[in-house]
Formats: sequence, C-alpha cells, structure tokens
Amino acid sequence: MIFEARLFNQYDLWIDLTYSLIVSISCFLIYLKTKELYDLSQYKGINYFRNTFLFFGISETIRLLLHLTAKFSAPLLPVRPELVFIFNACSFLMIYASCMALVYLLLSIFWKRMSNKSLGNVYLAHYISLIVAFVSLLKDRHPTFIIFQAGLFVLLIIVSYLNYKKSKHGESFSNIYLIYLLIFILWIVSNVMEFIVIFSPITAFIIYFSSIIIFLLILIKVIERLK
Amino acid sequence: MDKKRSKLEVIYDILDIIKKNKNSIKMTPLLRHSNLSSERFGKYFSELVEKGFVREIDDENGKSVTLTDKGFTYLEKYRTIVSFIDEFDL
Repeated sequence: MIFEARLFNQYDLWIDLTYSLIVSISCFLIYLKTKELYDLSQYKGINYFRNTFLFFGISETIRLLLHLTAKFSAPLLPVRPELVFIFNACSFLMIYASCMALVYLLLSIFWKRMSNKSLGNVYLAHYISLIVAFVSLLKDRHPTFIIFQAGLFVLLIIVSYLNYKKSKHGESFSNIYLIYLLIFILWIVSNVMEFIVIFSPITAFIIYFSSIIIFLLILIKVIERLK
Repeated sequence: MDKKRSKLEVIYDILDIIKKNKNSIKMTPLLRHSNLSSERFGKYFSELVEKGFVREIDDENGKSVTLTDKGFTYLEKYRTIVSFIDEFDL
C-alpha cells in the first residue's frame, strides 16, 4: 500500500514532526480563538473559516501521530499486520480532513454568492470527500484526492478573481487572497509529498518551512484582529 | 453592505438603542427608533431573546427590554467582528 511505503521513506523525521506540530497547534489556536466571535455573531463566514482550520488541524494531528507511530512500530509490521490496517484507516481520515479543510476555505469566501439551498449541501462535500479518500486509498498512488484538491484550487482562482473585481478594499483584499492561494498550493504540494512523490529533502524543507510561515501569518493576523 | 452584514448591523443598532436608554426601554419606542417594519422588528427581537442578548422585564411600569451581559459583550465586540470579517473577506 502507498502509505506504509511512503511512511518509511520519510524526510528527516524531526523536520516532519516539527512541521506537523506547529501547523496543527496554529490551526487549533485559530479555531479556539475565534469561538467567541462566532458564538456572538453566528456569522456563516466565520463558521466556515473556523471549520477550515479545524480540519487542517485534524489532518495535521493525524499525520503527526501516524509518523510517530510508524517510526516506533516499524519493526512490528511483519508480525502485526493489523498495524497496516490502522495506518490505512488513519490516512483515510487524514485525506478526508485535508479535502474538507480546502472545501471550507473555499466556502468561507464563496458562501455570500451561493443560495441558502446550495449552502445546505455542505453535507454533499463531506460525502464527496469521504468517497475521494476511499478511492485514493483503494489504489496505490492513485491521485484522486490530488485531482479533487486541484479542482478546488481552480475554483478558488475563479472566486478570487470574481471577488477581486467586486472588491473595494484594494491592497488588503489582494493580500489575504494571496495568502489563501499560497495555503492551497502548499497544502496540495505537501499532500503530494506525503502520498505520491518523494521530493528531495531540500525541496521538502522549503515547502514545510513556507507552510509554517503562512499558517503562523494567519494566526498572527487572527490574534491582531481579536485584540 | 451585503445581507448578512446588515443583519449584524441591525442587531448592533437595536442593542445600542437599549443601551443608550439607560438599559431600559419600552417596546414601542424601541420599534420606532430601530427604523424597521414591525414584522422585521418582531423577527429580530425574537432572535435577540432566543440568543440571550436581551430580556423582557415586567414591572409596575409595564413591560420593558434590557440588555443581558451577552448583549453588552456583543456591543463591545461588534467592531472586532466587523473588522475580522473584512480582514479575511468572509
């Protein structure tokens, strides 16, 4: 299966773990710090924004646990085949959470253009993400979820362009959309690194480092706004 | 202003009217100052009660409306909510 093959060919484990730890903590902090704002306003955009980081956080936490478990249980694999099943079940959840994070990010900036009826179909996105995760794991190195995420990225570009044309905010508008686009790109590339292709350690380091910077930047922006 | 933003703003305006009237106002002047139709006002008011932003008090002078702690917090955080929504274009 892809997952165990990929897990035991990791880049420097400590770089991997540091990346997952910083990103997951940043995401959960964003989720928790915006709770009061959502409780007071019940604003859909804030809800989708919070869910984005909840799912990013869940995906990264599962990744962190998987890498740690893989590191310390590698010698047991030949005698404990159930570990392979556990790894695959966890990677299923990880892919599902990863897809949903991008869906919610897209929704957070797109929901105002959607009808209430369409918004009721968020459940459909959950079903699609579950199917995508299942199909991705069914076949080794099957890029189904990467194709799905790339499709969401194309949608993000279209929505960003439409919102930009409608925007009256000028510079601050383009800044936040640039951050959203970078999150999408780095997230998809890190997923490719996790499941599909093994990059050179230097490339992996640059991608992890850039991702950490982007997530920390959003966390700082959130904290600044909540002051 | 979009529909949802207006909703946040209308809630702010209603709560602010109550606060500016020494946190006690009768329904009729509240409706008048809110600049809403009675139907829309009724919907907003029910929502405010349901969310725990305001409460109705029945005393010797009749029914009046006051803010709860949550209502005061909303007024305090309103600018933060709006600037957060603007910052992230939500």
